[in-house]
Amino acid sequence: MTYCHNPGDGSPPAANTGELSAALIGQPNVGKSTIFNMLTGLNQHVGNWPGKTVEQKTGIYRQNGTSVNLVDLPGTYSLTANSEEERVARDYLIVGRPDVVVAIVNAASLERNLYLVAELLSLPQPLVLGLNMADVARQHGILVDTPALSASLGLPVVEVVATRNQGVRELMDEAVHLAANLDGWSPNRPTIRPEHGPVLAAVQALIHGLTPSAYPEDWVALKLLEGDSEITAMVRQSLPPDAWDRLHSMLMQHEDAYLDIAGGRYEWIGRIMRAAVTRRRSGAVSLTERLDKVATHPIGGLVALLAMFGLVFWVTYAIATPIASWLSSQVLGTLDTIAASLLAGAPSWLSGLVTGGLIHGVGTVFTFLPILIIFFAVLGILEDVGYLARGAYVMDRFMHLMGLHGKSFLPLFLGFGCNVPAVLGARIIEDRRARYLTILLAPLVPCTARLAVLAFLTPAFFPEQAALVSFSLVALNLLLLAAAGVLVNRLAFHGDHSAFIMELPLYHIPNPRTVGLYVWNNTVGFVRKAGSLILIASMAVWALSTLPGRGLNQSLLAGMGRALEPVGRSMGLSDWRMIVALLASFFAKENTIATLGILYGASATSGTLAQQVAIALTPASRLAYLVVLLLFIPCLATVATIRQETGSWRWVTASVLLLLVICLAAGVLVYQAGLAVS
Amino acid sequence: MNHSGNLVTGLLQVLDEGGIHSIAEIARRLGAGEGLIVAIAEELQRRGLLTPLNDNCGTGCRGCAMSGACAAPGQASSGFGMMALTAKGRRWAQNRFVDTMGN
Repeated sequence: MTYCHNPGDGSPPAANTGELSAALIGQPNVGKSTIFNMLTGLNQHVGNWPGKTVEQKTGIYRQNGTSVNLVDLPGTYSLTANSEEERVARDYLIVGRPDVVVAIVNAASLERNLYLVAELLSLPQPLVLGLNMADVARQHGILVDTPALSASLGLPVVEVVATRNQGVRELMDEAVHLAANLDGWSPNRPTIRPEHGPVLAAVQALIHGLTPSAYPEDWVALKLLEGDSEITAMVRQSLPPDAWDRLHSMLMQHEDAYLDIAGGRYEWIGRIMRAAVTRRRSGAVSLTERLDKVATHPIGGLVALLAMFGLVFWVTYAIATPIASWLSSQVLGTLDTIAASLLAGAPSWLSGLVTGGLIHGVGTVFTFLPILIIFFAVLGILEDVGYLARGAYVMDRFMHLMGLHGKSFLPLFLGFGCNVPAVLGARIIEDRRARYLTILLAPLVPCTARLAVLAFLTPAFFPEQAALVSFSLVALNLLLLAAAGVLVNRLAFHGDHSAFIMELPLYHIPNPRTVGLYVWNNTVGFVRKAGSLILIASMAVWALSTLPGRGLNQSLLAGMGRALEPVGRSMGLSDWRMIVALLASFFAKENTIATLGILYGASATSGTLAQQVAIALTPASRLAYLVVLLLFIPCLATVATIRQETGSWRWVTASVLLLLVICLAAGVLVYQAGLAVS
Repeated sequence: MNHSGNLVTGLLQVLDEGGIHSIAEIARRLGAGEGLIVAIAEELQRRGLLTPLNDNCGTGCRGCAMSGACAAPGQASSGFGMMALTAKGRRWAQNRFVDTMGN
């Protein structure tokens, strides 16, 4: 059953000759105003619609002795009262009753534009379609068969290129002709599903004869079922109370009838598209489809994702680590020598601060700039190519395969660069408890700072298997993160889930400027951090490692470190310097390197810092140290953000304690397992 | 996918499964073009059943909660981006699914 076999009061406007009114309508940015300006030139008037803040444009267009009063209606997506523009447009169509409506659609995005056409066909006014931007559509490989489109719509369709004034006159010819020859005009109108036919008829019966005469009753009935607020308010005022109560009750029972009405329109659009539009598949689309068969596969995609991480580390180690080692052993050593000679006559505390604190502290951190730069570059390329979006998709698919997924996973996973945006990303979660629990787990995301420290130490700890060890540690981290996401889902969401639609961008060749900017911004951010937070922390570490002046092993810092040695011994960390370096990572993860640099005092003769540290540890304890480094408590910036987002020190304490328990447990387990294997 | 409703209800049913769904995946399951799925999603967004997650992309990253978490940080999104099912969308999807299963 069609709902509009005989629209409105059954009488389209009477055919006119000599003078007629026409309305130009379309979605925003389809070129409607360009066409209006071309047709009316200086014969136009711009003002506001009566009582509205929406601009009104009217003009006169003359063609073959016919004078057309043209109204350029505001851009609108539909005829539902979602905005003032939409209300103005439909009120004019219904109350103003133009002789003909000229709908302008964008040929390059017909699916979006035809929804308005579907709605226009529920009104009695005759309709002509202007297919604009057909040239743009062709450039994108979209070919619209205009005669087929016209036949499937049952409407006159004229191809137009408004920017070149092509087809505009022909479009108005058709509009004028249609307005004068309405007999036989029989458009193909969309229908709603048969099961809603009786409901529509019942609504129509309830409002029969009681709505303002300008409004077609079947259109009003449809809008009531769609839940249009303005039409509902109008009908409520028009109906007697008991009739309104019955109607309201029926509408509440069919609150989601909109789904069938919209569904019917989109099914109609789908049929039109299949009949009249073909898309030539571009190379980029085909390549994306082929690559995504693997990249988005639940298992294959996960393997590819883990392989990508392995590749990131391998490239970093192959290119950046040798440069970092050279900087550490040659440049730092030379700076050390120069500083020592320049400050030979200076107070010992000053030369100690400069060499021990600044050069060995902050200077060491700068030696892993090459690691950071390469790391950011590879990540930036993966992002710009379009791969990282697949990463989030694949991790979710993997968890879905196990029947597990949650809204908390998305902000956590996407916040790979830094834990601070991972905490901020939790804002998308409406439920407060769920949001806070997600924030609690955000520090489990392996940020680039942690990964950079990992990349700095791993080649020295495990020279032959650096890439494999790094890859395994990150995989372990991601598994823990996934497990945490499952836990949050069970505890906070009670198994409830949310859903996302995501556009996976086409793969494309990375833009050097985009990648360069990404590397630059992240590197500058790191340098700023090194010049502020790490500098201050390094000076503090140096001071604590010097006072009260009886040597490093009798210093205040040594006292603190030795107090924690029992904890460290459970992971094979008998050297208090390793424990202190871990604690220093609270201020910034890179501080671990700065602190180790100060406490081990690397120089050209003693080898690189990482090599010195490696000598102090057994393989099992090296592995345990890396695990603890990766999972250690959140840094100061993250803690500050958690405090800001939760407004509570309780959640901050919980986050710190949770990570502490996880990292210590993991460290002990890995150490014991390493001992058992070796 | 054998969905017993129309494309709109079919889209909601896919989303009711939870998790992340790509436009390509939804189009494949519903037997429709990707452009049509995007059009439906945008209409559902106008009706409050979906909400965009990166609607600040037109002005760059400032003020966006996802800015550091985005697949393309520092760039304004030129396309669809990402949308989430709202509470209203979830309710409608589940009501319709129950109706379908009941029938």
